[in-house]
Amino acid sequence: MSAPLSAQLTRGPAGAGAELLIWIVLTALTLATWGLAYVHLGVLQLPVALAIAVAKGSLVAIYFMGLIEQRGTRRLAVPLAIAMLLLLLGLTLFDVGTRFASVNPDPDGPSSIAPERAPRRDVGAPLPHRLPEP
Amino acid sequence: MAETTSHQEQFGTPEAQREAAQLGMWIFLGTEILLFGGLFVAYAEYRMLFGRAFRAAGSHVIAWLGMVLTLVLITSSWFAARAVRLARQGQLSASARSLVGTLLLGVSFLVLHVLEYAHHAGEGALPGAWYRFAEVTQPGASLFFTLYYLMTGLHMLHVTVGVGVIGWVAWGASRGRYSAAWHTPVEVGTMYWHLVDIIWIFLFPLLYLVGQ
Repeated sequence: MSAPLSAQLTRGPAGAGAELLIWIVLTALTLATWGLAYVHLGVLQLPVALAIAVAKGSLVAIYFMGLIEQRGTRRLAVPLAIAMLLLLLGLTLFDVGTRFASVNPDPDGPSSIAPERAPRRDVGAPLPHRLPEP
Repeated sequence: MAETTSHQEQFGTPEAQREAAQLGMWIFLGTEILLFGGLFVAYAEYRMLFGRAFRAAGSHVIAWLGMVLTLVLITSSWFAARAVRLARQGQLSASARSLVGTLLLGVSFLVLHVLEYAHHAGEGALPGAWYRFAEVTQPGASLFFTLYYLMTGLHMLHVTVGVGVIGWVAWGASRGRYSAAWHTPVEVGTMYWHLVDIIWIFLFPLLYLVGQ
């Protein structure tokens, strides 16, 4: 049972001023994400974009959805689902990232044409991906 | 029609009934996260395997449109949050107007998205075996667009359902069905809408800003 129930019910999870402020922050972060895509941060591109997305999503969940005023199982249900998803994501990427080089396609190539239009590879021609040396 | 202050006998108090309804919605939203999660994991795997093709294909998605769609949805969420606060304060007419704002922005989102699909279909950037986009032809490029359609398509389905839910709740609020004491449909209906917004917040950088 949430303690300050009567207080909750006369205002939103955030309050009018905070709602406006959160909307302004969400808008600013959206513009920042868009702008940063053209700055070319290299390997940091994706982590930065995802960190901003996590910040935006958290603001919406905590203040707009009202996660902040939930207690017990109501507070835990969605974070638990996210934890399960991260487990699935982590294990999947662990698999993909630790395979032998010959199993995965080269992420930086080839820039050849699509398989359905590609000329048939000659029998006996070298495979496009290096096999591990015996 | 429910009495505005009543509750079902088994709940004991109106608060208990309201919290039970919210718990049901939180659990449902958890399953929604796992539903979309499968597609996010597939995206992560294929982006890892076909990074170059994803960057090449992603550069043809209209980044500024993705940004506009994001602004439309976060603004719609702001209107939805206002609607809950106004309902709690007993201002049901103002709450209904705020929900109509959410509704109109949701419909705008759908219209813009359909125009975007038409643009990509016109250039042949179609999913799976229908992929005919001449500008990006390396292996993996069609996978990017397949995931683009699957993820945005499943999301659009949710926006469509959300528009229906918000419309129903707005209609109820405007007809005086809710009160400061009982407006659970406003609370749980907007929770669903916010989750749809959060999923889009992650789709935006992953699909629209890959190849910039």
